[in-house]
Amino acid sequence: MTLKSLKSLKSLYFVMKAIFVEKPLLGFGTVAVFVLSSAMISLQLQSIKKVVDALFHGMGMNLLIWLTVLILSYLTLILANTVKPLLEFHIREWLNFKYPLEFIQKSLRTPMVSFDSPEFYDKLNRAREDSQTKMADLLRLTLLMFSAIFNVFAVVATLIQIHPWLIVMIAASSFPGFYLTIQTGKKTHAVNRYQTPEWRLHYYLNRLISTKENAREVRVLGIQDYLYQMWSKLGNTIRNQTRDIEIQHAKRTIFTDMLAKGANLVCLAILGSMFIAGSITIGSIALIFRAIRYFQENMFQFMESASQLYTHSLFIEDIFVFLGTEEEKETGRDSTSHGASHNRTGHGHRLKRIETIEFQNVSFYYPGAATPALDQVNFVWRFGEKIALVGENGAGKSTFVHLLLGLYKPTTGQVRVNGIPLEELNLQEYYERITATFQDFNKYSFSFRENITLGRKANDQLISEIAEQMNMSDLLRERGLNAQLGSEFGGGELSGGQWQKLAICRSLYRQPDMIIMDEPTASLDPIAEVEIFKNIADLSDSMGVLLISHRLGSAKQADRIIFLEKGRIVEEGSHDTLMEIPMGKYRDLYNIQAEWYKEGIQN
Amino acid sequence: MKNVSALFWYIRRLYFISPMLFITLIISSLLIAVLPTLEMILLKELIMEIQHKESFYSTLALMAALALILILTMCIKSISMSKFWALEGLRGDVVTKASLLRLDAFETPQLYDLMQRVSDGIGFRTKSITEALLNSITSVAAIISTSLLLASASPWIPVVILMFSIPYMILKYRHSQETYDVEKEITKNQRFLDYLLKLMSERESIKEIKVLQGGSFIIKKWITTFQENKEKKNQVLIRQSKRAFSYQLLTLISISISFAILIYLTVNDHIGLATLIVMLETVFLCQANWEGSTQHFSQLYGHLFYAADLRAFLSYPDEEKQGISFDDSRIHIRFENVSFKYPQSEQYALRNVSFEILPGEKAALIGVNGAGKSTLVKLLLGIFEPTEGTIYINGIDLKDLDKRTWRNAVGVVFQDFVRYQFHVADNVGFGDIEQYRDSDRAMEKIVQASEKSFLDQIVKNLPYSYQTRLGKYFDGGVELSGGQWQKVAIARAYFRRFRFLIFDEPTSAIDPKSEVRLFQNFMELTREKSALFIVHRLSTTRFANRILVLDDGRLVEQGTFQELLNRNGEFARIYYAQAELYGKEGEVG
Repeated sequence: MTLKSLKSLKSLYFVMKAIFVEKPLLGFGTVAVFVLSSAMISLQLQSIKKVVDALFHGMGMNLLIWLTVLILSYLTLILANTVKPLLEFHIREWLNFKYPLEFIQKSLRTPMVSFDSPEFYDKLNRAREDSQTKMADLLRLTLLMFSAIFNVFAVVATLIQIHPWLIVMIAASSFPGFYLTIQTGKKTHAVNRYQTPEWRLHYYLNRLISTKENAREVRVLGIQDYLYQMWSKLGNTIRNQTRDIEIQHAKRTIFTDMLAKGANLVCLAILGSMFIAGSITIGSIALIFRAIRYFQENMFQFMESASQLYTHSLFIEDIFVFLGTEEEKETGRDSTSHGASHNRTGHGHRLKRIETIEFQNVSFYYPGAATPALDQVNFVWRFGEKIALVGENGAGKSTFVHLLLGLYKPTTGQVRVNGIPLEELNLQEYYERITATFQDFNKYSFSFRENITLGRKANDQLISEIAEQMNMSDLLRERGLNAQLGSEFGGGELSGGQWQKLAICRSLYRQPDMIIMDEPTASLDPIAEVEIFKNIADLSDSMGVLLISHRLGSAKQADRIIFLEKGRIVEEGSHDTLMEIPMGKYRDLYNIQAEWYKEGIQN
Repeated sequence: MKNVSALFWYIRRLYFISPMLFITLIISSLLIAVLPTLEMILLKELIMEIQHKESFYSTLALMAALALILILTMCIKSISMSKFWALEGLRGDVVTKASLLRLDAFETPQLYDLMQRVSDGIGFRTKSITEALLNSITSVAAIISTSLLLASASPWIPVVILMFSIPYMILKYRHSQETYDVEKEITKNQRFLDYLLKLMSERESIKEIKVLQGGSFIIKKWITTFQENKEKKNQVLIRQSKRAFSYQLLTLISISISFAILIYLTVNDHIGLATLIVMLETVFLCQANWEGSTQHFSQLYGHLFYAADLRAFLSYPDEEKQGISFDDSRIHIRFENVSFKYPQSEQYALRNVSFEILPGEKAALIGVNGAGKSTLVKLLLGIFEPTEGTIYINGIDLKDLDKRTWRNAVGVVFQDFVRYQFHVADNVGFGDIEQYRDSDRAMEKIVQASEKSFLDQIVKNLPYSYQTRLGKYFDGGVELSGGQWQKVAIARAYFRRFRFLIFDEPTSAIDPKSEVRLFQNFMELTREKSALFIVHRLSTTRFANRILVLDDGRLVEQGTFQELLNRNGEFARIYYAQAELYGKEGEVG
């Protein structure tokens, strides 16, 4: 076996170790039940032989004893078979619990910048899928394989008493098949992996054609036929690849089965000549027939499960690769693992209240980018200060926010909070004090209340106060705090603007020192927008606000306006100051917008 | 009964995918069932020859031949199975159907759910049904052949096995009945668990969760749902185990009785030794086939609801293709007392709306969130038909128009436009697929459209220019910001050879400087054409020839910018509220 396959077996070993170390009773209990049932099979075979022999050599006590043994062993087997699925269920559920949980915690600890890399994203998605389904399969297959091995041993132990060569014969015939099955398994995995991008494109095209979000535009543009053709062409390629493997497998099965059947016939021949020579009894023949059947069934089961297990352990590897991804040392304190055992704490700087956040010569390059997204930025934000961040699309506003929140680490320069470098702070504590509403905020399919509290202690009084500020009282009264939201799980849907207000409520509920709003009102109507800005203005005495907006009429209300262009701060100051810069960029932009309204009023 | 007819429908459907392969599959399933019995008969002959101490090699050769046939049959089955799936008949049907469906189907929750169920299950479920079907055939045939063999020794044996199998079948049937609802609940919980995992791993959602510290809450929720689900599964399992136990006891009894009969017959010299040995094996075989057939039938039964779904989905009406075609060189739109209620909704989304858009006119549609603006667009595009009243396009009722011709004439940028995860040229080219595929000058036109929408300035900085893949869904894609995507969507609309243009908030995420120039280009491009645009920033409506103000589904005001300001109604109220932000000191300096 290659190094790679050994590595994948290692992940299987990890899983097994986890079971036996963390759930020893369940693990060893299961093994005991499986061993017991195999022993019963052996006993059963023996007693069949004795019963038949007894039948032909006069009845008597022997027959009675062995008949009782036969029935008892059968009963024990039935009991064991009843208990097996229960044991398996508990182990499986435990695995299904353990690994997705580790996955979530890992995902939380992973630095934000990793999420921008497609390779990482691929790995993450694969691990997510695998952590749920593949683990359960892994367990089932392992149990199948081991029970097959135990059974084979039991049968071998019985057969060896009759003639050792029988074993050699049958066993030898099984191994080529085993090897071939493993080879096929390997290929399947290779194809699966190789096909990942194609599968995804195929899936994506299907979604474009048949999901609500896309259906309307796709039809209005009339491109559904075009997309369908792409879809079916791609589908053919993918299927041809899979089919080739399946046909290859079928061909191999011919070979494997012929070997098995051949061995069977040879065994029969040996038996026949032995019987003719008088060296075995008629009871032995009865036993051998049963035994051969058992042997082949179990051998087949063993081969099947072992080869599938091999394939699966290749997949499982993805999970361990993901779980083992280094949480880079420098971002180590980025650990936001809630309730996880590996929670790392900061350097003991307790954060009471954020007084200032400061950028010192901060530059940031996205991984692999040649030009900086932020270039030598210096900036101070004080408690209670209201700042507007403006600039054209792609000027670096979102990057700025990510750095401010410690989601990205500056390539050069430093972000300081109350004078302490951000990396020396515990981010958990930092996020107690600062929150953000992002442009692409989440719409949780939870209850109304949970959408606002998101795990914070529920204070319905505070919720209704905030809802009042956001002009959501009517909606709240109409739906109620317990109403389930999001149609995905049968809850009520909200409009885009309502979701947006809800997202702002969520931030406000945290009562932070500093709040960041990344274009929070893009899908709100003008009246709602005006009201929200007024409310934010009222709030700003008790907190720092950083607002990103294209609507300069709103930005104007800020104490200070930062104008970003190509990752640099090109203008900074109050509205009045900036308006006095001749040929100023802010002034230019403001005038364009204001003029439209002015004209209307003047006329 | 509905399910049974769905089964027949499904079988017919399979047959038509490829009659040859389907028949091959059925025959090989039958062969596989009968061959083990033949093997048993030969074995008996063989043992008898051994017993009489004769040469048994001829029988051995016969068995070898039989084994070969068996193996070949299995191979034929697995090869034809994979070929059968390679045809992918049903999957193609489903996607074709989805592409032909009437658009309002996507807005009807039941049908949408049905479609999701059908397309989610299309690979796995169809395969399961077919396999369960073929396996059921195999096991029934195997029961018959083994029973016949057993009957040759004693007719009582198959009767005994049958009698003890009936209670099992009843138990199994009741079990699947009882657990159906629980299973549905379990599936729903599982979906929720998946949703939570997704929240925790997607780029956009994890960011917010980190900052708002929602992680531990979601983990807690995940754990609770998981435990709840485990408890439910546990209940089902325990019930199942109890039944399995009683079933195995029944098996033990039926095998014991069969053995007793066989031993009795042997002792009384009714059957020979060879027959005894072979019959003992056959009893096991027959028993296993009973168990198998119950298993396969209950699987088949369980999957049948899917066949019923599939059938219901595929028989849903397509979008009508016929309709009056019309001269689209000038577009004149007239709404006459149009009212509209969404399916299954009591309230009117639009009430008595009447207005006109004359050829060459630009109309602006404004109103607060939920006033009915998007609904009006949906009606105009023929996605829904008015509940009352009529929409006339060039004097023809929209209902009677050929929808494709009409949509070909319209260019649209939706508020929630699609971000195609393809390269830039595709993204723009999709605006007019015929022109994109067939015209030599397509690329030139794409560049022109990009210039008008200022997409060219973004493309300039992309690594592979117009061949750069957009979006993060695939490797090597470049993600754009919201405003940049909007420019892509506008370029897509400009690339279309439209006669009428609909813009639903096209510039909400675009910076003000670009916005002004975009609107200037918009006016220029639509100079001789009609257009309808929805905006929130009322300053933009100055461009419009006509402004339509919607409030709570009613058209409350309409007129030019000046007229409406002078009127001092709803429009003026919203306008001044916005203008106030640019305040008194907002003089142009």
